Amino acid sequence: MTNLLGLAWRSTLALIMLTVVAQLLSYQASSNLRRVAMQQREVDKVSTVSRAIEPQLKREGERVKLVAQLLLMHDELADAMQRKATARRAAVAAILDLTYQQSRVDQLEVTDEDGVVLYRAHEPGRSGDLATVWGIDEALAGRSTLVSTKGARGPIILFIAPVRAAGKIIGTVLVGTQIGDRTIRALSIEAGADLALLTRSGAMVSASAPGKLKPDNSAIEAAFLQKIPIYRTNEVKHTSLVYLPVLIVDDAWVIMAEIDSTPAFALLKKGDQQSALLTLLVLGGSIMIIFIVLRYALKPLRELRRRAEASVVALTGIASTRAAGDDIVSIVAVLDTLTTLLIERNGELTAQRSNLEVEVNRSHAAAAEINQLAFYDSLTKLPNRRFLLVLLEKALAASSRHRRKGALLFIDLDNFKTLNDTQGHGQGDLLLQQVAERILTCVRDGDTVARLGGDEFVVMLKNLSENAHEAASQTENVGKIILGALSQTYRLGSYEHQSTVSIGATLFADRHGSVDELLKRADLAMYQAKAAGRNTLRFFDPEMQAEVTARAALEAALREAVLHHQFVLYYQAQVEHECHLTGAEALVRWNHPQRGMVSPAEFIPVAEETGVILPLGNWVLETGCAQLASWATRPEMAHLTLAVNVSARQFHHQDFVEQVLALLERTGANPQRLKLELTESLLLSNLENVVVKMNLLKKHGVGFSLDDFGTGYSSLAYLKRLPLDQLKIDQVFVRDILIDPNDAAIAKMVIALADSLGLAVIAEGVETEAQRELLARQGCHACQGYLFSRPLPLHEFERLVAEFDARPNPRLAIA
Amino acid sequence: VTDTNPCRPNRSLIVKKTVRVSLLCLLALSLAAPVAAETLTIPGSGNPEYVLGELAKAFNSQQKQHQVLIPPTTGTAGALRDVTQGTASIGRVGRPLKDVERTGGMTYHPLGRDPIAFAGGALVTGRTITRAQIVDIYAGKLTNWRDLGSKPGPIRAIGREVTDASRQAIARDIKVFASMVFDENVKIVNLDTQMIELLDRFPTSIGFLNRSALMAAKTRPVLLALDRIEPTADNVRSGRYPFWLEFGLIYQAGALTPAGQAFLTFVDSPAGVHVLRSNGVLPAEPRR
Repeated sequence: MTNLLGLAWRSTLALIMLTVVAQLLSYQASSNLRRVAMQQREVDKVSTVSRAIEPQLKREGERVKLVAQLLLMHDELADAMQRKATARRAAVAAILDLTYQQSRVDQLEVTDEDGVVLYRAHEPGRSGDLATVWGIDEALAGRSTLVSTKGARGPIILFIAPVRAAGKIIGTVLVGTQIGDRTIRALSIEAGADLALLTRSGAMVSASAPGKLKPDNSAIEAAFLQKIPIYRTNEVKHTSLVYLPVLIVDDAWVIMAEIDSTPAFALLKKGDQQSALLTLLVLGGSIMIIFIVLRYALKPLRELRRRAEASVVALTGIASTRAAGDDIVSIVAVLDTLTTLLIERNGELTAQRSNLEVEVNRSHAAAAEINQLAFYDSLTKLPNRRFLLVLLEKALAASSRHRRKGALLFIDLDNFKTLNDTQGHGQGDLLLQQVAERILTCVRDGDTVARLGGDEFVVMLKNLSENAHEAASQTENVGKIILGALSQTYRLGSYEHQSTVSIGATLFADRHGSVDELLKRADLAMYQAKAAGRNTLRFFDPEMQAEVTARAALEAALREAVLHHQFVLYYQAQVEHECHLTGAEALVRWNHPQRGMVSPAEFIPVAEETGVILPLGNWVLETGCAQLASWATRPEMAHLTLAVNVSARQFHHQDFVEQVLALLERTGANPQRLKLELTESLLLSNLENVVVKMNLLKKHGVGFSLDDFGTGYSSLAYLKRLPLDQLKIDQVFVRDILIDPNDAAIAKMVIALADSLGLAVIAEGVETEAQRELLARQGCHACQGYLFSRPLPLHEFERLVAEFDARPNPRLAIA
Repeated sequence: VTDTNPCRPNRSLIVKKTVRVSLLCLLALSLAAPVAAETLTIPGSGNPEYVLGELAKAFNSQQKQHQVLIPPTTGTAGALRDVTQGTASIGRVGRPLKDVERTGGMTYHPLGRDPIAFAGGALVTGRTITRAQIVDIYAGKLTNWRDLGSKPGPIRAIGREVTDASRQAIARDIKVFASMVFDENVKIVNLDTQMIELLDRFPTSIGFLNRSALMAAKTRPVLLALDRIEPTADNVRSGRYPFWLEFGLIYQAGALTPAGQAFLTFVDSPAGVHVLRSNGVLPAEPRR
């Protein structure tokens, strides 16, 4: 049923219920307040009644006293009481009867001096008994007493007084009044209420309207015990009651008073009706306000429900079956549905994501495969032509940026077709794979090896020297390495194959030419190599090729010169204090059969580069040592020392120390006269090894001079570690020492440094006396240079020595 | 800049004086508050009425701060009602509280045990009475003092209702006294004051009430020993005299006023104990 009603209605009903309950409670509370107020008003009324009762009872006591006093004042009473016994009763009776009739008391009697009743006006037929009531003894003792007794019809107030005659007590007079129906009726009229006199047990001894009042024993008990008025309300009779504890002389009683409270109850009823009407009005107004407020307050909720249900319909196609009033329930259900959908969709999305990840991985793998197929050669795994072109484009761009040269080497296998034809393509493929592997071992990490197709490979070298000649040389070296590597025997399965390649090379830099053009150049160069007899390298650039050819010829000539002893030693004098020739520096010269004397500057770098320096250096050292040994046999020459230059490559040879010692031993030269001149470049690598080798030789007396000091990476740190004997000031500082303060300062510093380290110092390239003098002033007294002598053949040098010996201060100028 | 004019009052000095006077006023008020005078009215039972009146006199004379008033009796029920309703902070009761009355924080402070004495009117010459004679008098079987060996005279017996504390105290020893129907000539009174008034008015009467209350009598009622055992505090303490009632004071826990607290302290003090003893009351156990 409630589902058919809207939330607003149901909320309204709930609030109405609450409002009804609140209004009913309010009504009840106000009714109770009115009732309490009414009861208080009626209590006040009965209090007024009760206040009227006690004075009335007090007046009753006063009345019996008055009657007794009147009787005592009667002139004949005492006489009558003193008469003879027979006449006495009649005389007393006459007086008492008259008084009894006039005073309207209930008891009136007289006793004699012994307390014996002489006459009872209220009981004329009974007399002669002994009065036993409280107070009779006191009266006989002379004291009047007001007492009360409990009679069958209620309390009786008694006043007992002595009767005196001639100062003597002759009896008593007792006057009593009954507090009974008559009194209660009188009190009732005066108080305006129905009254009843009750004993403590609840017995009604008298009442203004007998049978009308119904006493409540608990109220009577409470009034007795608490000694205070107890108030009650009779809801049925519409009366108010009070139970008033009263003390009638000596005895406690309860007077019950009941007043008509009909007007008050009517007023109460009217108040209740008005209150009920007001309650209904408030209730109705509250209902309307609640409904209106809720109707508008819940409007957003209904709208939310409508939209939520529409969302569910859109998502699931299922319409809500909730009743109109189930807004909150419907929203909760929608939220539940949406949550379920969300969880399901999340699960689907998770699965889709997993699938997508798988697909992406596959895609990546496929892309990698495609990339591999697109840019790499499937047989050798080397970059293919397409990729090479890309890399070459980048290399060209990079080369133009940092100005370093690059080179392309076009490699073609010689007679590859023959292998394919005779051994099959399988063997051909194997050969191609091994060729690829070998080429890769010949190049640096940054270089590129690509297969163009068939038996054609391309090597791209980057970051070569900026100098074209050096770059060509570097390229040639790599080419030779490749030629050597690829000319080694191949093992193709069980078949051994010998093959060679032809290499065409071209340099590139600064975007000179396109990528295709570069390849064509290399290709053309390769055909030139083929035409030149295969197994060789050819450059595309004719000049470059010519230079390379010349260089190759020089190298070959050098090797031949070593073999055919075409080298000779020249000696340049080393002079101390301008006149004392102490030794010479051995300088190699190449006496070429066709070219004549070739400058060391021309062939020494080639010898260094090609390794010819090793046999050449060894020949120089051996020749020098032999010369020393020869000089040692001649007294005029025995004092000379010989400085021999040792190249870095030569010194770093693992057997250098052993070779030197062997030469010394073989030639018999004095090691003390041998001075090996080292260059700074020698010290750039493996310094520890250098020191070890120098120390080994030093132990045998060999001396060391550091050549070209100051021109390279001079480091003061290694100076103190090397077992040097001499520093040599390079000729570049000596040449301008007179005009360049920097050169003079450097020369001075080297001299000072040598002095500090305890080393000798010698200046080379001294050409003028002024230079020598300056050096001498700065502390360098050993010189070498054209001032004294140019490098001389042996016999001329020996003649020079003789001249120096003959002339203490020679100044020779040998043309 | 400092004000160096000697004729000009220093402002900081005035402020200091003002603050000082204010603080003194606050101090005076704070001291005056706890000593506010209070009139303490202790309504309730008639049994301890007289002795409490004596205690109140002693308390009022000993200090002037509080006044204690002991109004006419309204009974133990009145004390319970007034204290429960908050009309009075302390009430007087003629018996210890029942368990049901102790609920709601109602606290009972015992004063002591008072012998219930049978007393005769001024003309009664006898000095002792037996348990059997008591029963016979109230049953209407003994009506003249002559039968008790005393000067002849009608015995005017005055009794109390069944619920009366003194009657119940007697009934602890004379069981029949609890429920016996008194003779019609026995006058039943509701209040101690009525009992005393009747004993005063009727010299051959006999009645019973706690001994200290008898002190309020205008005449000199004759105390009757029970089987020659005098109704004294010592005999109550020794257990030789069986009729006694315990009365005390009641108050709501937490509702005690300073005057009430001071009065309770006085009651428990040696001076209060002395007043109780001098009125024949055996002070409550902790104070003996």
